[in-house]
Amino acid sequence: MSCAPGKPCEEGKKRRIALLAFGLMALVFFVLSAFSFVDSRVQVTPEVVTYGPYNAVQGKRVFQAYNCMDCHTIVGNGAYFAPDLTKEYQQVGPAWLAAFLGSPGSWPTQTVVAIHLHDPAQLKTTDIDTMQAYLKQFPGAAQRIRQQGGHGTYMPNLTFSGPDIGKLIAFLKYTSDMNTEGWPPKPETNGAALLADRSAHAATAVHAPAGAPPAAAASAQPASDPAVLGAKLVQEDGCTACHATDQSTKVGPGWGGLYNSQVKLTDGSTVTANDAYLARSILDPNAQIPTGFQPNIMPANFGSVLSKQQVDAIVAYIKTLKGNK
Amino acid sequence: MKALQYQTQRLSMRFFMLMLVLFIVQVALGLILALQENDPLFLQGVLNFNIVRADHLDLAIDWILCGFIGAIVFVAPLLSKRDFAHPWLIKFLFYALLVIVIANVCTQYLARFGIAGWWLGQPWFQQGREYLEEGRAVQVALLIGFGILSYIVLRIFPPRREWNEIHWGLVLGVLGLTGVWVFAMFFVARLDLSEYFRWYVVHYWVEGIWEIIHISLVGYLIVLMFHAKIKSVGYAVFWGVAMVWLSGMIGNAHHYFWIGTPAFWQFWGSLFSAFEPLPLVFCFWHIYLDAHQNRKPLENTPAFYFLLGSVLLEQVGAGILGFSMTFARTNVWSHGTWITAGHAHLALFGTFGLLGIAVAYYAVPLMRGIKGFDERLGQLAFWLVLVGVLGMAFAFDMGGTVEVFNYRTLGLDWFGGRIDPAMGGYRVALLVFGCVLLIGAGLTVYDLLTMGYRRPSAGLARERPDGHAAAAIGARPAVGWGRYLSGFEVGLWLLVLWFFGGIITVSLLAFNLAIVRSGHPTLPYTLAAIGYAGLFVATLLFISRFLTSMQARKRAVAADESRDDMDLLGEPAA
Amino acid sequence: MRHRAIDLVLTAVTTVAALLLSWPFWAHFEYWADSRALWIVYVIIGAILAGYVFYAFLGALHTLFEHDALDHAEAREAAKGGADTENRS
Repeated sequence: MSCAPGKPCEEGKKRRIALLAFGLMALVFFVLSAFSFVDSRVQVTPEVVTYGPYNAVQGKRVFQAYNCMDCHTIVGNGAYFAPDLTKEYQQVGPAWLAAFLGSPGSWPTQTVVAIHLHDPAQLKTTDIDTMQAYLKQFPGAAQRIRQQGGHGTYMPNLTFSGPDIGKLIAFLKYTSDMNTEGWPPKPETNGAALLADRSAHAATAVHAPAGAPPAAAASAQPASDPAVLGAKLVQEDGCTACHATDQSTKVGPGWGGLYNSQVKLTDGSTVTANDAYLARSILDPNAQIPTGFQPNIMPANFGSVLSKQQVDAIVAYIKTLKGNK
Repeated sequence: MKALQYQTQRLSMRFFMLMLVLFIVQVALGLILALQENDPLFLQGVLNFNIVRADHLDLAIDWILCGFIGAIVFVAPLLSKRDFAHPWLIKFLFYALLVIVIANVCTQYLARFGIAGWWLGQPWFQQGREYLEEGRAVQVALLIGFGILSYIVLRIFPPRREWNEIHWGLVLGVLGLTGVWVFAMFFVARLDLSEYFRWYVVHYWVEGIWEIIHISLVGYLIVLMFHAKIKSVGYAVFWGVAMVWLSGMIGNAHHYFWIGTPAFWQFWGSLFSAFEPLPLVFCFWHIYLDAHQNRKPLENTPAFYFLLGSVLLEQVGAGILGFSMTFARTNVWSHGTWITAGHAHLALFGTFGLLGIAVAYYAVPLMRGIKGFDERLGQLAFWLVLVGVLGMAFAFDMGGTVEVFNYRTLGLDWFGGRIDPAMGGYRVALLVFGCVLLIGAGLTVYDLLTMGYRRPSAGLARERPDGHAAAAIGARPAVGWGRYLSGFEVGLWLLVLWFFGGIITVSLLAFNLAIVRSGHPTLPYTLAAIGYAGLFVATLLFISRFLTSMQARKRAVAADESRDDMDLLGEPAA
Repeated sequence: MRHRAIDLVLTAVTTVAALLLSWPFWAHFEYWADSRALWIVYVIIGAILAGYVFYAFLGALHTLFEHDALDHAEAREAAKGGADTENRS
C-alpha cells in the first residue's frame, strides 16, 4: 500500500529511481576501486619487498598462520590487545625484530640486538653495522632496550623458526613501506618527556624517570663485592640470553665450572680459563674460539660498553659459578 | 495463544537450541578475553588470546547464522502457506552446520603452532584474518550450506508473482549470503587488496546482506505480533533495505581510509556513511508505528523486549556510535582502538544477536505448545543482557578514548607499559559488565531451553490462570512512566540519543585540536564521558519507557483477549 | 508543495553539513586520481547522490506516517461500524 487514495501513484517510479541511483553508486564504487590498485597509484607490493632470501608474500602467510591479527592490529584492523604492527619495522628495524622474534617471551637487550646486527640480511638491508648508528636510525629500538631490555613480555613464546622470523621481518618491512595516507597520526608532542616532567613536578611522584640506562645505574652503585656487581651486569647486558650459568649451552658456552678449567680451542690448542682468558673472551671474543662454537656470533665491541672494572666484576662473578650441582 | 500452523516449522527448533548453546559458549569465551585483558598471562600458553578471540568472533557469526536459519525455517512455511517439501534437507543442513562449527572452533588452536594447512596456495585449516579466521575447508562447506539454504527457501516460496517485499527480502538475503561469501575465499598477497576484499565480507555481507534479512524478519515479526498490515510493513521493508544499500554501497569506503588505498576514499566514505544511520532511523519509526497500531496488550513480552532491544541497540550501536567514528577526521583517531570494539559489540550482538533471541522467544513457546509461560525470567534476562552489553560498550569506549590520547596523541610506546595502566580501570569495568552479560545470557539460555519442562511457579499459576491474566488486575489508566508513548515523545527521545551522539562525535573531532595534540586531554575526556554515559543511560531509560508503556496496555485494556488466529500472510504487494 | 519545500531545504542543509564533515582539507593531490580536477568531480557527484539519499529518506518517512494515519482511520471506521478490525481485504 504505497499510494494514498486519490493521489497519483508514484511508488513504482520512486523505486525505479532508487534502483538507478544504486546502480550509479555501484559504478562509482567500482571505478574508484579500479583506481585504487592500478600501477600508477605507486603502492608498494609484497612481491618486491625482501629480507634475506624471503619476500613479504611468504611473510604474510606466516603472519596469517600464527593469527597475529587476533592480538595485534595491522593497518589498524585486528584485536587491540597488542600494539599496531603497521609501522613497527621503521621504528625498531630488522635486528631488533630478529632479536625479539627469536624469543618473544623476553625483551631483547642491547647485546642481543647487537648479535643480530651482524646478520648478513640485516647488513644488506640497512647498511648499518654499528650499534650506535642502528639505534640512531631506529629510535624505537633504543627506547625499548633502555626501558624494557631483559624483562619478560606479555607475548606468548611462540618459538618461531629461523625462516619464519625472516619472512615476518620481510612482511613488516612491506607494511612499513606502505602508503597508509598518514595513519597512524604522528604525535605532535613527546608524551614520555611530558609525563616525566609532570611526575617530577608532583610532590608524591614515585615514578623514576624511565630514561636512565640500567648499566649506568648499576655501575653507579658502590661495588663492595665485585661478584655481586657482575651478577647484575650479566643480566643487564643480556649475557645470560646466550650463556647459561651452569654447564649447559644456550648459544655460547655455559659458565658453570668454567673458571680454571681446561678449554679446547678450534686451533687445536688448550688454554686454562683464568682471569686473563675470560677478560679477553669478553673484550675480543673472536681471538680464542672454543671447539664446537662459531666465531662472529658474539659481538666484538664490548670494550666500548664495559669499563675495566666492570669486566673484572663479570669475571669475578663467573668465578663463583660452579659446575652442575 | 496461537497454535503452530505448519508442522515443518518445528524443524526450526533444533537451530534455536544450537544457537543458544553456541551463544553461551561465545559469551563465556568473551569473559576469558576480559580476564586476559586484565591479566595477559592468564591461560597463556594454554589458550592464547588470539585463539580465544578467533573463536569468540567466529562463534558470534555462527550462532547468529544459526538464529537466522532457525528464523527463516520458522517463517518460510507461514509466508508460503505450505510445509517444506524436503524436511530431510533441513535436518542435513543442521548436522552439517554442527560439524562445521565444531571444525571451525577446533582448528583455531592450530594458530598456536602456525599451522594454516597450506595447499594449492590456500590456507585450509585456519587463515588468521580478523572475522574470517576459519580455514578454506570450513568456508567451502559453509558456501555449500548457504546454497542449500537458498534452495530450501526458493523451493518452498510461492510463485514469484505472489511475492511481497518480505519474500523478496528473504530471497535476496539468502542469495546474497551465498554470493558475497565468495569474496572471503581467496588468499591475496597484497595487504591493501586483501583488506579491501575482507571488508566486502565484513561490510557488505554482515552489514548489508544480514541487514536485509534483519529488516525482513523484524518486519514479519511485527506482522505476527501486532497484526500489522503486510502492505505497510512491506513498504517499510523495501525502503529500509533500499536505504541500507543506497548509503552503504559507497559507505563501505569508511573501511578504506587507512589500509593503503588512495585518499579519495576518505571523502566518499565520510560522506556516505554519514547517511548510514538513516535506514536505522527509518526502521525504528516503522517499529514504533506498527507496535502502536492498536493498543492491544503484548502477548509475549520477552519476544518483544528482545526485538525492541535489537532495533534500538542497532540505532545506538550501529547508527550513533558508527556515525561518530565514520568521518576520516574522527576515524583517524578511533581506528584501531577499543572505541571500535565498543561499536562492534553493540552493533553486531545488539542488532543481530538480540533478534535471534527474540525470534526464539516467539517461536519456542509456540512449538512447545506452552500457554502463558512465566515471562518474568525472560524479562529479567533481557535487562541483565542489556545492562551488561551497554556497560561493556561504555568500558570499551571510555577505555578507547584514554587509549587514543595515550597511544596516538602522546605517542607513548605500548611496550613501555604506559597505556595498559592508563586503561586499567576500564579493563576492570569491562570484566564486571561482562559478568553481568554472562549471567543474563545464562538466564536467557536456561529459560528458553527449559521452557515448558520446568514446573511453573505457584505464584504464576494462581495469578494467571488463563495464561494472560495481567488484565485481571483490572482496567487502570496508564499514567506516569507507563502512559501512552506518543510519536512526539519518541521523536524527543531519538533527538536526545542523537544529541549525545553529537557530543561523542565532537569528542573525537577534538583530538584534532592543537591544544589536545600538545598534551591536554581535558576536552575530549569530558565530552566522551558526557557523551557515552549520557547515550547509554538515555538508551536504558528509553527502552524502559517504551516497554513500560507497552506493559501498561495490559492494565489499560481490560478484556478483549480472545483474538483468534488469523491469516498472517496478507496478500502480495501490488 | 509546502512539504516538498521543507524537504528540499532539509536536504540541502544536511548535505552541506555532511560535506563539511567530510571536506577533504587534508588532501595532498599527489596521485592523479586524487588530482584537484577529479576532487571537484567527486564532490559534485557525491553531493548529488548524498542529497538524493536524504531526500528519498524523507519521502519514505512521510509515506510511512501517511500509511499509519490511513490505517488508524480505517481501524476507527471499522470499530464505528462494529466490524471486525482484522477483517482486512
